[in-house]
Amino acid sequence: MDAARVLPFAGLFLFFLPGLYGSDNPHSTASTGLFLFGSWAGLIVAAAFLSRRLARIAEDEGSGRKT
Amino acid sequence: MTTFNLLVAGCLFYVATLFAVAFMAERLVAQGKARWLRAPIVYTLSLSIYCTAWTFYGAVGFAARSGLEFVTIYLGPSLVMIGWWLLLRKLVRIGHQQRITSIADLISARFGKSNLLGGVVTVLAVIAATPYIALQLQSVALSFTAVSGAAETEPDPAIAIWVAGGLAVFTILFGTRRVNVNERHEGIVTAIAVEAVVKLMALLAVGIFAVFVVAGGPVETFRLIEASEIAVWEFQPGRWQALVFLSAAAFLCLPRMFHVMVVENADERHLATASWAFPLYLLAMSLFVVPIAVIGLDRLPEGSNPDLFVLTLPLAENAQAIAMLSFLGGFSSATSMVIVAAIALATMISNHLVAPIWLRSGAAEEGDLRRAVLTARRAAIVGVLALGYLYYNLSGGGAALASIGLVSFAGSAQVLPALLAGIFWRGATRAGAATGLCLGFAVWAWCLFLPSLPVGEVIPAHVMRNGPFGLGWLRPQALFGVEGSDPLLHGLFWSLFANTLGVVGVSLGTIATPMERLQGAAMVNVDTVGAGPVSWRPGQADSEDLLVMTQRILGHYKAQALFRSAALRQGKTGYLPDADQIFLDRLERELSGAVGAATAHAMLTQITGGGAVSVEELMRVADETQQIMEYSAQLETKSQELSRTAARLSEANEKLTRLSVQKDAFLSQISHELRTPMTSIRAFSELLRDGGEGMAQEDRERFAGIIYDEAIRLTRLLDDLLDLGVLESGQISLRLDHVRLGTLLERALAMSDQAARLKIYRPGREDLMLETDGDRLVQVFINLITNAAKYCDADVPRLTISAKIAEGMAEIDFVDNGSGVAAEAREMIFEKFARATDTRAAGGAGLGLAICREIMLRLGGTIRYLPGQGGAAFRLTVPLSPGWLEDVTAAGRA
Repeated sequence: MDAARVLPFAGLFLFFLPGLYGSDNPHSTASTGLFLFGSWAGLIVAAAFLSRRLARIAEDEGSGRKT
Repeated sequence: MTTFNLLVAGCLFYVATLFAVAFMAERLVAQGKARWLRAPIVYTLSLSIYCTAWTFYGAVGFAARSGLEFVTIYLGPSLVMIGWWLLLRKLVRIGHQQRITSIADLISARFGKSNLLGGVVTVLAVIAATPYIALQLQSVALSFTAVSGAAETEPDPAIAIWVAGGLAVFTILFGTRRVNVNERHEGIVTAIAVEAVVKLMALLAVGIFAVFVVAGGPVETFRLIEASEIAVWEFQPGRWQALVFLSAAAFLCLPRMFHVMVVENADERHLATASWAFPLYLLAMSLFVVPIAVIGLDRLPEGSNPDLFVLTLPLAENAQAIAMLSFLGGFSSATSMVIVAAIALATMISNHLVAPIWLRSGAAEEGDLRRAVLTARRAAIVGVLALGYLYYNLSGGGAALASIGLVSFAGSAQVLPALLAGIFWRGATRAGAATGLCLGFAVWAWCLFLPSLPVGEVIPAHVMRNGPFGLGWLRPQALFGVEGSDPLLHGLFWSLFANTLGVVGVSLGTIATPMERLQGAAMVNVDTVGAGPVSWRPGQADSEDLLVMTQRILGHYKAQALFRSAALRQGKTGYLPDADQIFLDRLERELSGAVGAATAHAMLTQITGGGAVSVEELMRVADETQQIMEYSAQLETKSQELSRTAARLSEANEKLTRLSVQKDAFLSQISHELRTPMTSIRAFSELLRDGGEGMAQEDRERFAGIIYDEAIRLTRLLDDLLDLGVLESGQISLRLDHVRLGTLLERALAMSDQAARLKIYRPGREDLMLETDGDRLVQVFINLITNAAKYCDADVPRLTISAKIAEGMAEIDFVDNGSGVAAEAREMIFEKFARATDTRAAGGAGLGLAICREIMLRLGGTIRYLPGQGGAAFRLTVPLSPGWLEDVTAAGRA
């Protein structure tokens, strides 16, 4: 559950990373693009992995609430 | 070239297919066979209305102008989805629990079901969405013109009209069939899901075509990117971060996104799937954007509109089918967005602008609200589309697509501070939210919206340059002299800054109304609090009125079903349940699903005659209850007091009765006691009188002696009676003094003069100083000693008198060695005329111990029979002299 809370911030860090290695150097579209899409895909995989567990937790919570 | 007619036919066919899909979906749902329609994947695909024609066409243009920056528009929503556990889950849960119908409804419901806030958000949303809808119309018109061969010329406004009209018809048909928005529009959602697939397919087809056919493979494409004019791009960290933030905020706050994400959400768990599937969708949508842009820049003639590369590239390569698919993709992006936006806005307009006015006008008393709401909604759909068309016509369709999209995003994002404060901070107040919204909205309009219109149209050029009235610090793009920054960044920063400042500052300075507090608590603690706030006082509403009203909103069938089920739950037959709190709460939720929280609340309040309970009222009720409780507590105390008094009275009565009986007994005893000596006196005096001279001197003396003795006895009896009477009436005057116990005992022994018959032992301490009336105490002692002498049946009668200190009193025991008093008689001996034995020999009247008891009572002491001492034993307690006691204890301690 905590991982689910951390994940978006990890994503934020990754997505802001291009800004960290200097704005003076013009960025290469191709390599930055590869980096961005790569980390994006990584996040999606992590989210997919987490969502299964979270859905189970949510379900437990939901059923716990009903009873 | 594709002919215009073919295009129109294609569009019509596509729209017809959508109609069919929507119709089928609704029928399936009606037959209850549509479980798959509520699958998480449909939900995920419906979220794709985020990708409008702007993203379909505009992203490529964006990329062609500013490189990878376009991707920020997708990164923000991706982050929001990935972090669903943090925010979206709560939002959806609140949406379900409070039956939220729109983002305006959420804000209004959170801040005390305020119509004002709902109205403000609605107006804001309409203004922010209008340019965006214009954008969609423009892109469809542009793409029409592009594909039909007349490329790069002015698009025909008639196309936009036709598109707007067609969309209005579709939306009205499938979006306003029922009033209850929370019933969800399965038809529309399914159609949107299909459209999502179409646009993804279209963009992927164009991308794959461009990369593999036109460019000749991924490696070639990569090389092409490296060599293109956007191979390097100026990275602006500030703008980059602002755009990620802005897109995330817009994703949450755009009315249409809120609609599909929260209102149309059927199950919270769908979010779990969407959390990774939707970012994946976005990734797929943006994957080929840069390649298409680069290849388009490479292949197409100089000066081509990059916003249309998705269309013009396949056209230029003579791939008609792909061009057609691409056109349909763009068309579907535009239509799905417009449809949902129109529904969301129409719901907001009808619930937060029309319904309150309608209610206030008093028409609610008799009119058919259901029809009114539907009509309002249909009119609003037409109105929203008309506004969009008007804006499109006004702006002349010239502005670059992307920039106007971002301005619209920034407008929607103004709801974010109030939204976040509302669901995470219980202290946020209505005044704060309203202030923040208005401030942010005003700054946004001044800095971003008005400048986005063609220069000179609304804001004159000199104002843009020098500020209004020459006030330089109010220049729209350089507020407070902050110059040189990106206008979007500038406007976004200032508007959200002012907005947040307003929300927080005013919230801190104002006090929330009770309803706000209830709602705030319900939303902030949605995870822990089960149901919505308790808000109705039962028993005031007439169920029949409620039914009439509900029928007007939900329709006869639904309303009756609802009432019937409620009645059944209460164990009643028929259609009219008791208007209890549970039922009213449920009814309010159902109604707010149809007309929004604020309106539903207002309507129920009308029916129940202001029966809605504000916390003031609750407090008043609580006060009353408190008063009643106090009153009843008082009553109880009183009644307890009464019963105590009654008990005392009956006790006293019993005592009186007993006393009366006692008195009678006493009188008869007295008469008896008096009579006996009187009889013998009379008899012997008679003998003396009649005896004459013949009587012997000896006899005469004996008779006279008897008469004398009896007279003495009578006198003593009368003395005792007198004494007892004085003692009992409390008229006795005591002469309290400090006397030594030993002295008193000496006196008593001397006076009783029983030394011959009784052996006296005195082993106790006799130095005790008593505070008492010595004469009276001696009287008691004498009585006890004479009693012992009289009644002790031992061969050698012995009396032990011992004294000690116990519990601050002198304790004096008189114990003889006789057989004592029988157990059953011990209760009696202190009563008047009671004798343990009936020996006349005793010679007393039986008043001795009664007198002793009275004396001891007056002296502040006691006299009790002491059982278990081997003989008759009496214990006296007598107060000690206080001064002496202190001295003794002091000495003992020393």
